[in-house]
Amino acid sequence: MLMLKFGLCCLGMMFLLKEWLLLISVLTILTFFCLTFMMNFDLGVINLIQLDFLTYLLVSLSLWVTALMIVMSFYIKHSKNYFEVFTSLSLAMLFFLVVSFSTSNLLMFYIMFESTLIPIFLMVMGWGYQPERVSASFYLLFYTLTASLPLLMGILYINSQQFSTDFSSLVVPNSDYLLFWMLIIAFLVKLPVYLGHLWLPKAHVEAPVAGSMILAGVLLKLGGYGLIRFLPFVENSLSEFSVLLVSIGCIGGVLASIICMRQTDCKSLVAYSSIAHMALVVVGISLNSFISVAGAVIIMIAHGFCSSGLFSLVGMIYDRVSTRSIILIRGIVSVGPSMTLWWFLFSISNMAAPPTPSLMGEIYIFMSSLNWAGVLAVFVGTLSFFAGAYNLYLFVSTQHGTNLSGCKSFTEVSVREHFVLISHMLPFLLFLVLLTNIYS
Amino acid sequence: MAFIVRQSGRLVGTFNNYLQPAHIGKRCISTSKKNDETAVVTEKIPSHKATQNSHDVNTTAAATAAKKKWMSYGFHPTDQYEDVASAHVFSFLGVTLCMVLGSLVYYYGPDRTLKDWAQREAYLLVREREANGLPLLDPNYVEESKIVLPSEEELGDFEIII
Repeated sequence: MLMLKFGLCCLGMMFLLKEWLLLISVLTILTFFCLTFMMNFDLGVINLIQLDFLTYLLVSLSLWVTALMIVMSFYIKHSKNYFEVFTSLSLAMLFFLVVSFSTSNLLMFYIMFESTLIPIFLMVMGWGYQPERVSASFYLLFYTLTASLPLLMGILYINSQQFSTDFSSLVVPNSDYLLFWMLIIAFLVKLPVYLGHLWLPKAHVEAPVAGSMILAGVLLKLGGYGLIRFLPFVENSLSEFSVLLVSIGCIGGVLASIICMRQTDCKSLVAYSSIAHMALVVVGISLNSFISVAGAVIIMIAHGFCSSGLFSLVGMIYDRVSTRSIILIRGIVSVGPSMTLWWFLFSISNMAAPPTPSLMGEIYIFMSSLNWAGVLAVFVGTLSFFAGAYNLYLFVSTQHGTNLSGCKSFTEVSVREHFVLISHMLPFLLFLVLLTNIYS
Repeated sequence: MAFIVRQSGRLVGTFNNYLQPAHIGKRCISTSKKNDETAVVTEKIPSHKATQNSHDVNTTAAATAAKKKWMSYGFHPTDQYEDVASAHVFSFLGVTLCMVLGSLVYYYGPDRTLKDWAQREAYLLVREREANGLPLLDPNYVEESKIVLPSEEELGDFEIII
């Protein structure tokens, strides 16, 4: 019934498409009620709703990032570029995300998982910047569709065996290796893990600011969420393939971090850093210990805020100097010092500096990975080192140095933009205490 | 806090006239009347409030000049009222409601996840077990006396895998 109420609420919000002020107000009020009154986890399996702490965190994150992405998209409204269609796509995406995070039915989860592709495809195709957005949106669509077809087949097979498509029917561990890969591959590509990651940099570079924010902030977490939900069912097979998954995660994360160091596009750099962070999530989930899965969840939530904020910052720079090239964007500290402050805060958060939750998540995963195998110290240490390296590279390249002539006319950060960035950073820090309840 | 500081500053300013000696507080500045000065016409400072005579070109221009001092908050490039209203709405809903009140309700609200209850219960159990001389953590999750195993006749040919 909660899902039905939320669906009706989303339909009601469709009438507010032209009144963006009311729309964002409703979204922020919904986030407030979600944060404060959705803490009752005793609903169990009733009417397709299953809530636990992970659902609570991800639904709150979805609502908040959707509100912020609409606030960041005012240039679409002022340039009269079909803003109502854009907001309707955002609301549809929000509905699909909330239902996918809160449903307990496997088939409903799959349908919503696939449905989130439609709005993001249309956003990239419709509001992207370069002609390459056509190929980028096709990469996004076909990578995810191809990988998730085995998931549908796996769910239908589970239905034929267990006579139910509910998460509670996944309680008996299955040791079928083929079924394991059929269920897991969709989420690995969605995360994305290194070998199935090619769609992400393309999609992020070609997407509009809001598209990048929702993609990095929430859509990648669908992959991690799916892995965690299906984990108890495939534990027996996971013990067989955990070495492979941890290896792909560790080596892929290191390779993605090294690739970050030679990027010339800011958005592409942040996209590859997302791949490195999600590699840690894969490692955490594959290790299948309590603390490693907790660390994976914490990194997912922290990355949702941090990456979304970084994409907002890149979008703000693009609005002013019409380029995302690291070579051309230089010396921002001398023309926009308030933006430099935000670049600094988000860069250090991305490299997991204290007191951010990113550090907490990384420490949990480092602890569990070293407990699992000592050799992983080399890989996670290298990953952490390069995280610092590419974030410093991004910050120093864009902020320091002599600014080019194209950067001399630089509007100071407006109140709206400060609001968006504060709304990323403050909940990010406040969530630190909330995430310590991950063990409940 | 800021309100208290401002009000105290105003009160001190009010009482300064009574606290200080009169000859220190008063400084008279006067000049003799100048005979060879030209008359100085002082212009009335234009008010941003709407004047009664809307057909007066000078007052309209003055009001427009005063209104031009507005700088956009970033929510609307031209409409001042929508821009200011948006800034106020987002500041209230986003910061005050969601972050401040949301944090308050979360931290001071009831213990919905039963985390504090679990910690209290654990301490009570530890005290009880120490008083009874039992180990704090029993290696058996369930007491052996409470486990009822099926008999050999009931099991039959059922294969038991350990």
